[in-house]
Amino acid sequence: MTRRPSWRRRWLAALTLMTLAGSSLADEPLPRWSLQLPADAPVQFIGVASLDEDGMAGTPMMYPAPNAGGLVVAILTHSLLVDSARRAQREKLLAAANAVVAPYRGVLDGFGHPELRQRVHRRASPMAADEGELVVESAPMFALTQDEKAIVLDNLITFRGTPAGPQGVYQGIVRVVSDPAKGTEPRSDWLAGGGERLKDECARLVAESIEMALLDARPAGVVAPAPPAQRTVRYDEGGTERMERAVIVRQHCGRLIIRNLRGHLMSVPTKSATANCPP
Amino acid sequence: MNVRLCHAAIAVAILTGCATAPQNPIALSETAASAQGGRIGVAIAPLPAPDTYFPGADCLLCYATAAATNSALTTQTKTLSASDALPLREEIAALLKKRGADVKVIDGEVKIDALPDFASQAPNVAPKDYRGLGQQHQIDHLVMIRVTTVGFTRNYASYVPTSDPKATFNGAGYMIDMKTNAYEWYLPVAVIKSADKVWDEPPAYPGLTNAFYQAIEIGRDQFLKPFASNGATASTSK
Repeated sequence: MTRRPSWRRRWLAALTLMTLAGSSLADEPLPRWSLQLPADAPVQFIGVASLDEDGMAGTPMMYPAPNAGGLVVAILTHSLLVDSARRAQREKLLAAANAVVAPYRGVLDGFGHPELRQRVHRRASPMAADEGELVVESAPMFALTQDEKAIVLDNLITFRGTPAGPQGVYQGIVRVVSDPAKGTEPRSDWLAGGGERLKDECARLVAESIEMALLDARPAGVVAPAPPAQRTVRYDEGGTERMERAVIVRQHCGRLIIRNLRGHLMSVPTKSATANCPP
Repeated sequence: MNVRLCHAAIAVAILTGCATAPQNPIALSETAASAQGGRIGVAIAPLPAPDTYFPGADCLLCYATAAATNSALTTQTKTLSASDALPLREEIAALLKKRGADVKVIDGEVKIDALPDFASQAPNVAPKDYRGLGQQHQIDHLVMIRVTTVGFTRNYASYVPTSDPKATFNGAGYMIDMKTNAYEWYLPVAVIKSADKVWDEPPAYPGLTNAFYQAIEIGRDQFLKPFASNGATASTSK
Protein backbone atom coordinates (compact mmCIF):
# COMPACT_ATOMS: atom_id res chain seq x y z
CA MET A 1 0.00 0.00 0.00
CA THR A 2 1.47 3.37 0.95
CA ARG A 3 4.26 4.31 3.31
CA ARG A 4 4.57 7.93 4.31
CA PRO A 5 7.94 9.48 5.18
CA SER A 6 9.16 11.90 7.79
CA TRP A 7 10.84 14.18 5.24
CA ARG A 8 7.63 15.81 4.18
CA ARG A 9 7.89 18.56 6.81
CA ARG A 10 10.20 20.41 4.49
CA TRP A 11 7.48 21.44 2.10
CA LEU A 12 4.53 20.81 4.36
CA ALA A 13 4.21 24.43 5.46
CA ALA A 14 3.83 25.61 1.89
CA LEU A 15 1.53 22.80 0.89
CA THR A 16 -0.85 23.15 3.81
CA LEU A 17 -1.57 26.71 2.73
CA MET A 18 -2.94 25.40 -0.52
CA THR A 19 -6.62 24.61 -0.83
CA LEU A 20 -7.10 21.28 -2.47
CA ALA A 21 -10.64 21.75 -3.65
CA GLY A 22 -10.83 23.16 -7.11
CA SER A 23 -7.15 23.89 -7.65
CA SER A 24 -5.18 22.25 -10.42
CA LEU A 25 -2.39 19.89 -9.52
CA ALA A 26 0.25 22.07 -11.11
CA ASP A 27 -0.66 25.05 -8.90
CA GLU A 28 0.92 23.50 -5.85
CA PRO A 29 4.58 23.86 -4.86
CA LEU A 30 6.35 20.54 -4.89
CA PRO A 31 9.99 19.55 -4.27
CA ARG A 32 12.46 19.17 -7.13
CA TRP A 33 12.85 15.57 -8.09
CA SER A 34 14.90 13.33 -10.30
CA LEU A 35 13.36 10.36 -12.06
CA GLN A 36 14.84 6.86 -12.07
CA LEU A 37 13.38 4.26 -14.42
CA PRO A 38 14.36 0.61 -14.90
CA ALA A 39 17.72 0.82 -16.64
CA ASP A 40 17.86 0.00 -20.34
CA ALA A 41 14.54 -1.85 -20.26
CA PRO A 42 12.00 -1.08 -22.99
CA VAL A 43 8.83 0.74 -22.01
CA GLN A 44 6.22 -1.85 -20.99
CA PHE A 45 3.08 -1.66 -23.14
CA ILE A 46 0.18 -4.11 -23.11
CA GLY A 47 -3.47 -4.15 -24.18
CA VAL A 48 -6.24 -3.49 -21.66
CA ALA A 49 -7.75 -6.90 -20.90
CA SER A 50 -11.07 -7.92 -19.40
CA LEU A 51 -11.08 -11.09 -17.32
CA ASP A 52 -14.88 -11.33 -17.22
CA GLU A 53 -14.79 -14.28 -19.65
CA ASP A 54 -11.90 -16.00 -17.90
CA GLY A 55 -12.52 -19.40 -16.27
CA MET A 56 -14.63 -22.40 -17.13
CA ALA A 57 -18.18 -23.43 -16.34
CA GLY A 58 -19.04 -25.31 -13.17
CA THR A 59 -19.80 -28.95 -13.91
CA PRO A 60 -20.01 -31.95 -11.59
CA MET A 61 -17.25 -34.53 -11.99
CA MET A 62 -17.40 -38.29 -11.30
CA TYR A 63 -14.10 -39.63 -9.94
CA PRO A 64 -13.02 -43.25 -10.64
CA ALA A 65 -11.95 -43.97 -7.06
CA PRO A 66 -11.92 -47.48 -5.61
CA ASN A 67 -10.90 -46.17 -2.15
CA ALA A 68 -10.07 -42.96 -0.23
CA GLY A 69 -6.47 -42.91 -1.50
CA GLY A 70 -7.67 -43.30 -5.06
CA LEU A 71 -10.10 -40.45 -4.57
CA VAL A 72 -7.33 -38.11 -3.38
CA VAL A 73 -5.13 -39.04 -6.36
CA ALA A 74 -8.06 -38.54 -8.74
CA ILE A 75 -8.83 -35.10 -7.28
CA LEU A 76 -5.17 -34.01 -7.44
CA THR A 77 -4.91 -35.17 -11.06
CA HIS A 78 -8.12 -33.38 -11.93
CA SER A 79 -6.87 -30.24 -10.20
CA LEU A 80 -3.62 -30.26 -12.18
CA LEU A 81 -5.49 -30.68 -15.45
CA VAL A 82 -7.90 -27.86 -14.64
CA ASP A 83 -5.06 -25.54 -13.54
CA SER A 84 -3.20 -26.22 -16.76
CA ALA A 85 -6.30 -25.58 -18.87
CA ARG A 86 -7.07 -22.35 -16.97
CA ARG A 87 -3.50 -21.08 -17.36
CA ALA A 88 -3.65 -21.74 -21.10
CA GLN A 89 -7.01 -19.98 -21.31
CA ARG A 90 -5.72 -16.95 -19.37
CA GLU A 91 -2.61 -16.71 -21.56
CA LYS A 92 -4.76 -16.89 -24.69
CA LEU A 93 -7.04 -14.16 -23.36
CA LEU A 94 -4.12 -11.87 -22.49
CA ALA A 95 -2.42 -12.57 -25.82
CA ALA A 96 -5.63 -11.59 -27.62
CA ALA A 97 -5.79 -8.37 -25.58
CA ASN A 98 -2.13 -7.59 -26.30
CA ALA A 99 -2.72 -7.95 -30.05
CA VAL A 100 -3.98 -4.36 -30.05
CA VAL A 101 -0.42 -3.18 -29.38
CA ALA A 102 1.09 -5.09 -32.34
CA PRO A 103 0.73 -2.24 -34.87
CA TYR A 104 2.61 0.02 -32.45
CA ARG A 105 5.60 -2.31 -32.02
CA GLY A 106 7.68 -0.45 -34.59
CA VAL A 107 7.52 2.69 -32.46
CA LEU A 108 7.48 1.03 -29.03
CA ASP A 109 10.53 -1.16 -29.70
CA GLY A 110 12.58 2.00 -30.13
CA PHE A 111 11.03 3.72 -27.11
CA GLY A 112 13.24 2.98 -24.13
CA HIS A 113 13.19 4.22 -20.57
CA PRO A 114 16.06 6.70 -21.13
CA GLU A 115 13.94 8.50 -23.74
CA LEU A 116 10.87 8.35 -21.50
CA ARG A 117 12.88 9.85 -18.62
CA GLN A 118 14.14 12.64 -20.87
CA ARG A 119 10.62 13.47 -21.98
CA VAL A 120 9.23 13.37 -18.42
CA HIS A 121 12.01 15.70 -17.20
CA ARG A 122 11.39 18.07 -20.09
CA ARG A 123 7.66 18.11 -19.41
CA ALA A 124 7.96 18.50 -15.64
CA SER A 125 10.78 21.06 -15.74
CA PRO A 126 11.82 22.89 -13.58
CA MET A 127 10.53 20.55 -10.85
CA ALA A 128 12.19 17.59 -12.53
CA ALA A 129 15.94 17.92 -12.68
CA ASP A 130 18.99 15.69 -12.86
CA GLU A 131 19.97 16.73 -9.32
CA GLY A 132 16.67 16.82 -7.44
CA GLU A 133 16.00 16.92 -3.72
CA LEU A 134 14.13 13.71 -4.16
CA VAL A 135 14.79 10.54 -6.13
CA VAL A 136 11.64 9.20 -7.74
CA GLU A 137 11.89 5.53 -8.64
CA SER A 138 9.17 4.63 -11.09
CA ALA A 139 8.06 1.34 -12.65
CA PRO A 140 5.50 2.40 -15.26
CA MET A 141 3.25 -0.07 -17.05
CA PHE A 142 1.24 1.32 -19.95
CA ALA A 143 -1.87 -0.27 -21.42
CA LEU A 144 -3.71 0.69 -24.58
CA THR A 145 -7.49 0.36 -24.60
CA GLN A 146 -8.95 -2.03 -27.16
CA ASP A 147 -10.47 0.88 -29.11
CA GLU A 148 -6.97 2.47 -29.12
CA LYS A 149 -8.44 5.73 -27.85
CA ALA A 150 -6.75 5.93 -24.46
CA ILE A 151 -3.61 4.95 -22.58
CA VAL A 152 -3.80 3.69 -19.02
CA LEU A 153 -0.73 4.04 -16.82
CA ASP A 154 -0.16 2.01 -13.67
CA ASN A 155 2.88 3.45 -11.98
CA LEU A 156 4.58 2.00 -8.91
CA ILE A 157 6.33 5.02 -7.43
CA THR A 158 8.94 5.10 -4.68
CA PHE A 159 10.38 8.34 -3.28
CA ARG A 160 13.80 8.29 -1.70
CA GLY A 161 15.30 11.31 -0.01
CA THR A 162 18.80 12.54 -0.85
CA PRO A 163 21.46 13.78 1.58
CA ALA A 164 20.68 17.32 0.43
CA GLY A 165 16.94 16.83 0.60
CA PRO A 166 14.27 15.20 2.72
CA GLN A 167 14.77 11.74 4.25
CA GLY A 168 12.50 8.71 4.29
CA VAL A 169 10.66 6.48 1.90
CA TYR A 170 7.24 6.64 0.32
CA GLN A 171 5.75 4.01 -1.96
CA GLY A 172 2.43 4.03 -3.77
CA ILE A 173 0.68 2.94 -6.94
CA VAL A 174 -0.98 5.60 -9.07
CA ARG A 175 -3.20 4.99 -12.10
CA VAL A 176 -3.71 7.71 -14.69
CA VAL A 177 -6.12 7.27 -17.60
CA SER A 178 -5.54 9.59 -20.54
CA ASP A 179 -8.33 11.66 -22.04
CA PRO A 180 -10.05 9.79 -24.87
CA ALA A 181 -8.62 10.54 -28.32
CA LYS A 182 -11.07 12.71 -30.23
CA GLY A 183 -10.25 11.69 -33.78
CA THR A 184 -11.75 8.78 -35.66
CA GLU A 185 -8.30 7.36 -36.48
CA PRO A 186 -6.58 7.15 -33.10
CA ARG A 187 -3.84 4.86 -34.36
CA SER A 188 -2.62 7.23 -37.04
CA ASP A 189 -2.77 10.08 -34.50
CA TRP A 190 -0.64 8.19 -31.98
CA LEU A 191 1.87 7.07 -34.58
CA ALA A 192 2.20 10.33 -36.51
CA GLY A 193 5.72 11.77 -36.62
CA GLY A 194 7.41 8.59 -35.45
CA GLY A 195 5.00 8.10 -32.54
CA GLU A 196 5.62 11.58 -31.15
CA ARG A 197 2.11 11.95 -29.71
CA LEU A 198 2.19 8.47 -28.14
CA LYS A 199 5.56 9.09 -26.50
CA ASP A 200 4.59 12.54 -25.33
CA GLU A 201 1.34 11.28 -23.81
CA CYS A 202 3.24 8.53 -21.97
CA ALA A 203 5.56 11.18 -20.52
CA ARG A 204 2.61 13.36 -19.56
CA LEU A 205 0.94 10.47 -17.74
CA VAL A 206 4.13 9.63 -15.83
CA ALA A 207 4.60 13.29 -14.84
CA GLU A 208 1.00 13.51 -13.63
CA SER A 209 1.32 10.29 -11.65
CA ILE A 210 4.45 11.59 -9.89
CA GLU A 211 2.74 14.86 -9.09
CA MET A 212 -0.19 12.95 -7.56
CA ALA A 213 2.18 10.76 -5.53
CA LEU A 214 4.00 13.85 -4.25
CA LEU A 215 0.72 15.22 -2.96
CA ASP A 216 -0.16 11.84 -1.50
CA ALA A 217 3.19 11.69 0.30
CA ARG A 218 2.25 14.64 2.51
CA PRO A 219 1.16 13.73 6.06
CA ALA A 220 -2.48 14.25 5.22
CA GLY A 221 -2.08 12.72 1.78
CA VAL A 222 -4.57 13.70 -0.88
CA VAL A 223 -7.79 14.11 1.03
CA ALA A 224 -11.33 14.83 0.07
CA PRO A 225 -12.57 18.34 0.91
CA ALA A 226 -15.84 16.87 2.24
CA PRO A 227 -16.21 13.84 4.53
CA PRO A 228 -15.16 10.92 2.35
CA ALA A 229 -17.95 8.67 1.15
CA GLN A 230 -17.49 5.69 -1.12
CA ARG A 231 -19.46 5.76 -4.33
CA THR A 232 -19.35 4.04 -7.68
CA VAL A 233 -17.63 6.54 -9.92
CA ARG A 234 -18.08 6.43 -13.67
CA TYR A 235 -15.36 7.57 -16.01
CA ASP A 236 -14.21 7.25 -19.60
CA GLU A 237 -11.55 4.77 -20.59
CA GLY A 238 -11.25 5.49 -24.29
CA GLY A 239 -14.73 5.08 -25.72
CA THR A 240 -15.83 2.78 -22.90
CA GLU A 241 -17.52 3.84 -19.70
CA ARG A 242 -15.79 2.27 -16.71
CA MET A 243 -16.71 2.22 -13.03
CA GLU A 244 -14.69 2.21 -9.85
CA ARG A 245 -15.79 2.11 -6.23
CA ALA A 246 -13.85 4.96 -4.71
CA VAL A 247 -13.76 8.16 -2.72
CA ILE A 248 -13.63 11.30 -4.84
CA VAL A 249 -10.79 13.43 -3.55
CA ARG A 250 -10.76 16.16 -6.15
CA GLN A 251 -12.36 17.33 -9.38
CA HIS A 252 -10.58 19.57 -11.79
CA CYS A 253 -11.25 20.40 -15.36
CA GLY A 254 -12.78 17.26 -16.78
CA ARG A 255 -10.90 14.93 -14.48
CA LEU A 256 -11.56 13.20 -11.19
CA ILE A 257 -8.92 12.20 -8.71
CA ILE A 258 -10.20 9.26 -6.72
CA ARG A 259 -8.85 6.80 -4.18
CA ASN A 260 -9.97 3.28 -4.93
CA LEU A 261 -10.64 0.41 -2.53
CA ARG A 262 -7.01 -0.70 -2.74
CA GLY A 263 -6.02 2.75 -1.49
CA HIS A 264 -4.45 3.69 -4.82
CA LEU A 265 -4.93 7.12 -6.32
CA MET A 266 -6.44 7.34 -9.78
CA SER A 267 -6.79 10.28 -12.15
CA VAL A 268 -9.57 9.64 -14.63
CA PRO A 269 -11.39 11.65 -17.29
CA THR A 270 -15.09 12.20 -16.81
CA LYS A 271 -17.74 14.38 -18.33
CA SER A 272 -19.14 15.16 -14.88
CA ALA A 273 -16.06 17.08 -13.67
CA THR A 274 -15.99 20.38 -15.51
CA ALA A 275 -15.29 22.83 -12.70
CA ASN A 276 -12.28 25.16 -12.72
CA CYS A 277 -11.25 24.67 -16.32
CA PRO A 278 -8.90 27.41 -17.48
CA PRO A 279 -10.56 29.68 -20.04
CA MET B 1 -49.82 -52.85 -11.91
CA ASN B 2 -51.99 -49.93 -10.85
CA VAL B 3 -49.54 -49.10 -8.07
CA ARG B 4 -46.67 -49.02 -10.59
CA LEU B 5 -48.66 -46.77 -12.92
CA CYS B 6 -49.52 -44.53 -10.02
CA HIS B 7 -45.81 -44.24 -9.02
CA ALA B 8 -44.82 -43.50 -12.61
CA ALA B 9 -47.48 -40.80 -12.88
CA ILE B 10 -46.27 -39.20 -9.66
CA ALA B 11 -42.65 -39.33 -10.88
CA VAL B 12 -43.60 -37.71 -14.20
CA ALA B 13 -45.62 -35.05 -12.42
CA ILE B 14 -42.72 -34.25 -10.09
CA LEU B 15 -40.15 -34.14 -12.90
CA THR B 16 -42.23 -32.03 -15.25
CA GLY B 17 -43.29 -29.83 -12.38
CA CYS B 18 -39.64 -28.98 -11.72
CA ALA B 19 -38.90 -28.26 -15.36
CA THR B 20 -40.52 -24.84 -15.61
CA ALA B 21 -39.57 -23.21 -18.90
CA PRO B 22 -37.70 -19.94 -18.40
CA GLN B 23 -39.58 -16.82 -19.39
CA ASN B 24 -38.32 -15.40 -22.67
CA PRO B 25 -37.47 -11.69 -22.86
CA ILE B 26 -40.31 -9.41 -24.00
CA ALA B 27 -39.64 -5.94 -25.39
CA LEU B 28 -41.19 -3.09 -23.43
CA SER B 29 -44.69 -2.24 -24.64
CA GLU B 30 -44.35 1.36 -25.79
CA THR B 31 -48.10 1.86 -25.42
CA ALA B 32 -48.21 0.62 -21.85
CA ALA B 33 -45.17 2.72 -20.87
CA SER B 34 -46.64 5.97 -22.11
CA ALA B 35 -49.24 8.60 -21.25
CA GLN B 36 -51.90 6.53 -23.07
CA GLY B 37 -51.25 3.36 -21.11
CA GLY B 38 -52.97 4.29 -17.86
CA ARG B 39 -51.47 4.46 -14.39
CA ILE B 40 -48.20 2.60 -13.81
CA GLY B 41 -46.98 1.41 -10.43
CA VAL B 42 -43.28 0.81 -9.86
CA ALA B 43 -42.22 -1.63 -7.16
CA ILE B 44 -39.17 -3.51 -6.00
CA ALA B 45 -38.90 -6.89 -4.32
CA PRO B 46 -36.75 -7.26 -1.18
CA LEU B 47 -33.07 -7.29 -2.10
CA PRO B 48 -31.30 -10.53 -1.26
CA ALA B 49 -28.40 -10.52 1.18
CA PRO B 50 -25.10 -10.83 -0.69
CA ASP B 51 -23.72 -14.35 -0.61
CA THR B 52 -21.22 -16.68 -2.26
CA TYR B 53 -22.26 -19.35 -4.77
CA PHE B 54 -20.33 -22.40 -5.96
CA PRO B 55 -22.06 -23.93 -8.99
CA GLY B 56 -20.61 -27.33 -9.89
CA ALA B 57 -19.70 -28.18 -6.27
CA ASP B 58 -22.76 -30.39 -6.17
CA CYS B 59 -21.97 -33.22 -3.78
CA LEU B 60 -22.19 -32.55 -0.05
CA LEU B 61 -18.46 -32.96 0.54
CA CYS B 62 -17.63 -30.91 -2.58
CA TYR B 63 -19.79 -28.03 -1.33
CA ALA B 64 -18.29 -28.25 2.16
CA THR B 65 -14.80 -28.10 0.64
CA ALA B 66 -15.70 -25.11 -1.57
CA ALA B 67 -17.36 -23.31 1.34
CA ALA B 68 -14.33 -23.90 3.60
CA THR B 69 -11.86 -22.82 0.90
CA ASN B 70 -13.75 -19.58 0.30
CA SER B 71 -14.79 -18.86 3.89
CA ALA B 72 -12.79 -15.61 4.13
CA LEU B 73 -14.50 -14.32 1.00
CA THR B 74 -17.89 -15.36 2.35
CA THR B 75 -17.16 -13.44 5.56
CA GLN B 76 -16.33 -10.32 3.55
CA THR B 77 -19.42 -10.81 1.36
CA LYS B 78 -21.66 -10.70 4.45
CA THR B 79 -20.38 -7.18 5.17
CA LEU B 80 -21.53 -5.88 1.77
CA SER B 81 -24.90 -4.48 0.83
CA ALA B 82 -26.78 -4.39 -2.45
CA SER B 83 -28.55 -1.20 -1.41
CA ASP B 84 -27.05 0.63 -4.40
CA ALA B 85 -29.80 -1.11 -6.39
CA LEU B 86 -32.59 0.42 -4.27
CA PRO B 87 -32.83 3.74 -6.17
CA LEU B 88 -33.89 1.75 -9.26
CA ARG B 89 -37.55 2.16 -8.34
CA GLU B 90 -37.37 5.97 -8.25
CA GLU B 91 -35.11 6.07 -11.32
CA ILE B 92 -37.55 4.00 -13.40
CA ALA B 93 -40.44 6.13 -12.15
CA ALA B 94 -38.57 9.28 -13.22
CA LEU B 95 -37.89 7.86 -16.69
CA LEU B 96 -41.54 6.86 -17.09
CA LYS B 97 -42.65 10.35 -16.05
CA LYS B 98 -40.34 11.77 -18.73
CA ARG B 99 -42.36 9.71 -21.20
CA GLY B 100 -45.49 11.39 -19.93
CA ALA B 101 -46.81 8.39 -18.01
CA ASP B 102 -48.90 8.64 -14.84
CA VAL B 103 -46.66 6.91 -12.30
CA LYS B 104 -47.04 5.76 -8.73
CA VAL B 105 -44.02 4.63 -6.74
CA ILE B 106 -45.16 1.76 -4.51
CA ASP B 107 -43.56 2.25 -1.11
CA GLY B 108 -42.00 -0.62 0.77
CA GLU B 109 -41.08 -3.91 -0.80
CA VAL B 110 -43.36 -6.34 -2.60
CA LYS B 111 -42.79 -9.85 -1.28
CA ILE B 112 -43.38 -11.91 -4.41
CA ASP B 113 -43.33 -15.27 -2.65
CA ALA B 114 -46.25 -14.13 -0.49
CA LEU B 115 -48.47 -13.48 -3.53
CA PRO B 116 -50.96 -16.17 -4.54
CA ASP B 117 -50.08 -18.43 -7.46
CA PHE B 118 -51.67 -17.68 -10.82
CA ALA B 119 -52.71 -20.84 -12.60
CA SER B 120 -52.45 -20.36 -16.32
CA GLN B 121 -50.99 -22.38 -19.19
CA ALA B 122 -50.88 -19.33 -21.47
CA PRO B 123 -47.46 -18.06 -22.51
CA ASN B 124 -46.03 -14.79 -21.13
CA VAL B 125 -48.18 -14.82 -18.02
CA ALA B 126 -46.73 -14.27 -14.54
CA PRO B 127 -46.77 -17.36 -12.29
CA LYS B 128 -47.79 -15.18 -9.32
CA ASP B 129 -51.01 -13.20 -9.17
CA TYR B 130 -50.18 -9.49 -9.09
CA ARG B 131 -53.72 -8.29 -9.78
CA GLY B 132 -54.41 -7.63 -6.11
CA LEU B 133 -51.72 -4.95 -6.18
CA GLY B 134 -53.57 -3.30 -9.06
CA GLN B 135 -56.70 -2.93 -6.99
CA GLN B 136 -54.80 -1.95 -3.86
CA HIS B 137 -52.78 0.83 -5.53
CA GLN B 138 -55.24 1.81 -8.28
CA ILE B 139 -52.80 1.08 -11.08
CA ASP B 140 -53.24 -0.40 -14.57
CA HIS B 141 -49.73 -1.75 -14.97
CA LEU B 142 -47.02 -2.77 -12.54
CA VAL B 143 -43.29 -2.49 -13.20
CA MET B 144 -41.55 -4.93 -10.90
CA ILE B 145 -37.81 -5.08 -10.18
CA ARG B 146 -36.64 -8.34 -8.69
CA VAL B 147 -33.01 -9.03 -7.78
CA THR B 148 -32.62 -12.74 -7.13
CA THR B 149 -28.93 -13.24 -6.34
CA VAL B 150 -26.07 -10.87 -5.63
CA GLY B 151 -22.59 -11.59 -4.39
CA PHE B 152 -19.81 -13.75 -5.75
CA THR B 153 -19.88 -16.90 -7.79
CA ARG B 154 -17.01 -19.34 -8.27
CA ASN B 155 -17.43 -22.25 -10.61
CA TYR B 156 -16.38 -25.71 -9.54
CA ALA B 157 -16.03 -29.15 -11.09
CA SER B 158 -16.87 -31.08 -7.93
CA TYR B 159 -13.82 -30.38 -5.66
CA VAL B 160 -11.77 -28.31 -8.12
CA PRO B 161 -12.36 -24.59 -8.80
CA THR B 162 -12.62 -23.92 -12.53
CA SER B 163 -12.76 -20.13 -12.25
CA ASP B 164 -11.75 -17.30 -9.97
CA PRO B 165 -14.56 -15.83 -7.88
CA LYS B 166 -16.49 -13.16 -9.77
CA ALA B 167 -19.08 -10.65 -8.73
CA THR B 168 -22.60 -11.58 -9.79
CA PHE B 169 -25.87 -9.70 -9.97
CA ASN B 170 -28.96 -11.51 -11.26
CA GLY B 171 -32.61 -10.69 -11.47
CA ALA B 172 -35.44 -9.70 -13.76
CA GLY B 173 -37.48 -6.62 -14.52
CA TYR B 174 -41.03 -6.96 -15.79
CA MET B 175 -44.20 -5.04 -16.44
CA ILE B 176 -47.53 -6.72 -15.81
CA ASP B 177 -51.02 -5.87 -17.05
CA MET B 178 -53.13 -5.63 -13.89
CA LYS B 179 -56.21 -6.97 -15.66
CA THR B 180 -54.73 -10.06 -17.32
CA ASN B 181 -51.57 -10.70 -15.22
CA ALA B 182 -49.69 -10.96 -18.55
CA TYR B 183 -46.18 -9.67 -19.07
CA GLU B 184 -45.86 -6.48 -21.12
CA TRP B 185 -42.11 -6.39 -20.62
CA TYR B 186 -39.70 -9.01 -19.35
CA LEU B 187 -35.96 -8.51 -19.05
CA PRO B 188 -33.70 -11.08 -17.41
CA VAL B 189 -30.55 -9.45 -16.03
CA ALA B 190 -27.40 -11.49 -15.41
CA VAL B 191 -24.14 -9.66 -14.76
CA ILE B 192 -20.77 -11.28 -14.12
CA LYS B 193 -17.80 -9.06 -13.33
CA SER B 194 -14.27 -10.15 -12.55
CA ALA B 195 -11.78 -8.40 -10.31
CA ASP B 196 -9.32 -6.08 -11.97
CA LYS B 197 -6.08 -8.09 -12.16
CA VAL B 198 -5.81 -10.07 -8.90
CA TRP B 199 -8.71 -11.23 -6.73
CA ASP B 200 -7.16 -13.04 -3.76
CA GLU B 201 -6.66 -10.11 -1.40
CA PRO B 202 -8.02 -11.14 2.01
CA PRO B 203 -9.48 -9.96 4.27
CA ALA B 204 -11.11 -6.99 2.47
CA TYR B 205 -10.85 -8.29 -1.12
CA PRO B 206 -10.77 -4.77 -2.61
CA GLY B 207 -10.62 -5.99 -6.22
CA LEU B 208 -13.64 -8.26 -5.83
CA THR B 209 -15.51 -5.70 -3.71
CA ASN B 210 -14.99 -3.20 -6.52
CA ALA B 211 -16.32 -5.77 -9.00
CA PHE B 212 -19.35 -6.29 -6.72
CA TYR B 213 -20.32 -2.63 -6.98
CA GLN B 214 -19.51 -2.58 -10.70
CA ALA B 215 -21.88 -5.53 -11.23
CA ILE B 216 -24.69 -3.73 -9.39
CA GLU B 217 -24.09 -0.59 -11.44
CA ILE B 218 -24.08 -2.51 -14.74
CA GLY B 219 -27.25 -4.32 -13.65
CA ARG B 220 -28.92 -0.99 -12.82
CA ASP B 221 -28.05 0.29 -16.28
CA GLN B 222 -29.60 -2.79 -17.86
CA PHE B 223 -32.83 -2.35 -15.90
CA LEU B 224 -33.04 1.35 -16.80
CA LYS B 225 -32.07 1.19 -20.46
CA PRO B 226 -35.49 0.16 -21.89
CA PHE B 227 -37.16 3.12 -20.18
CA ALA B 228 -34.70 5.75 -21.38
CA SER B 229 -36.18 7.27 -24.49
CA ASN B 230 -32.77 7.57 -26.15
CA GLY B 231 -31.65 4.13 -24.96
CA ALA B 232 -29.11 5.54 -22.52
CA THR B 233 -29.40 5.92 -18.80
CA ALA B 234 -27.65 9.29 -18.80
CA SER B 235 -26.20 9.00 -15.33
CA THR B 236 -22.55 9.86 -14.86
CA SER B 237 -21.68 9.02 -11.32
CA LYS B 238 -23.82 8.30 -8.38
